[in-house]
Amino acid sequence: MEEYAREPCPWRIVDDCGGAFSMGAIGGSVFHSIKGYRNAPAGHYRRLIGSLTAVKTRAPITGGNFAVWGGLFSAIDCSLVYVRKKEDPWNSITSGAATGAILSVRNGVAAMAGSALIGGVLLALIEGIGIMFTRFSAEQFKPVDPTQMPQDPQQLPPKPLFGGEQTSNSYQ
Amino acid sequence: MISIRICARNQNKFQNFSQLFFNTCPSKDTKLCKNDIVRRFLHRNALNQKLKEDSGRHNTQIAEQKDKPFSELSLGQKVARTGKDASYLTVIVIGVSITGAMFYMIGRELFSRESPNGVYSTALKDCTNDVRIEAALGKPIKGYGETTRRGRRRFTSHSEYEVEGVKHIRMKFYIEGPHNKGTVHLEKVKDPNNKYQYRYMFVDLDNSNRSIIIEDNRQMLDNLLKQV
Repeated sequence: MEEYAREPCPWRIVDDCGGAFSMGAIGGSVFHSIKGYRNAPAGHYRRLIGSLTAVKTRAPITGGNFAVWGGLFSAIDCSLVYVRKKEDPWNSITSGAATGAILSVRNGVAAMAGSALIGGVLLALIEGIGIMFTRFSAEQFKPVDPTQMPQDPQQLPPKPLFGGEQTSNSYQ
Repeated sequence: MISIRICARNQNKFQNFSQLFFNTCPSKDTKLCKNDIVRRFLHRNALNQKLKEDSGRHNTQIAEQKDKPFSELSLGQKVARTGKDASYLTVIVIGVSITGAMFYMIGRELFSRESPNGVYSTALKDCTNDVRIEAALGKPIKGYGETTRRGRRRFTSHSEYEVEGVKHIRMKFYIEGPHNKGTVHLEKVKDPNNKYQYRYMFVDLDNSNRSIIIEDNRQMLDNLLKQV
């Protein structure tokens, strides 16, 4: 019972912000090292210098952009959890769309709609991957003998402890 | 399709290139039209080159036509071209079908009432509307699934299975109010009308040994399914 005793929500924003920053910083380093290498003047030494300069100047910016996205996303997600009193994939899809819209608010309504759509679809795809993974991981809990019913939980009428759906189903 | 490769040192050549592609020709004879465009393009390039040479800077550029029209190819080339096109087409078809399948899966998960997410939604609603649960947990009741490592709790643990061709789904999720928490266990069964019915649903309260049984239709449903 301990693993869900702690509320993840307000702390998760900081968590996501940091995670997104490191993801952006690492990805940005790789991207900008290649880009800096290609854009530098000829000569291996100069190219390496150029690559290093590009990483130094650009990768933190990419990380920061990612962190803004992640933090805002998580904040909206948590707000939605608080308002709706429910946690389901809709929260993250909505907050992805809202994040996209908010971050392009200075570019006008059309840009907001476009990036809201992109954010929503992207998050829906991520959710879909998550759903797929849970489905495939849930596959192994199917009854071994499909003709045999799994036992009913014993809380129905009498009640001993029923610990964990997956482990306690003995299929006779 | 005509594709033209340019090796141009100066930027403004690309303007010509884009003009070439987006130029719409009023003539209906496409072949003529294409040739016309190409000729115009080459002519303009030649002019540019002349200008460049006049100004003293050497500039090399090549405009060449790749990909002959299909009718002019030999048999072997035709086979090769068809194979290439077919392989590209398969890549496109595979990509589109994977995307479509993913969107279908997501849509079914989100909008259907018989998907795990739909079952979770209706069950949560039924729980929060139950008077006994409201009394035990307090008023604003929230629901969530299993906690992942990243602090997400939106996936409920569930298993779908079939017994003698009848679909069952078992699910477990958590509800929480100001006074107490609880774990909801439920099982749904497709009745003869192919609709999911609760076989049972009960809530285990955390701080007491009590469990609140919301639905228990096992007797009724099992008899119903036996008759069919």
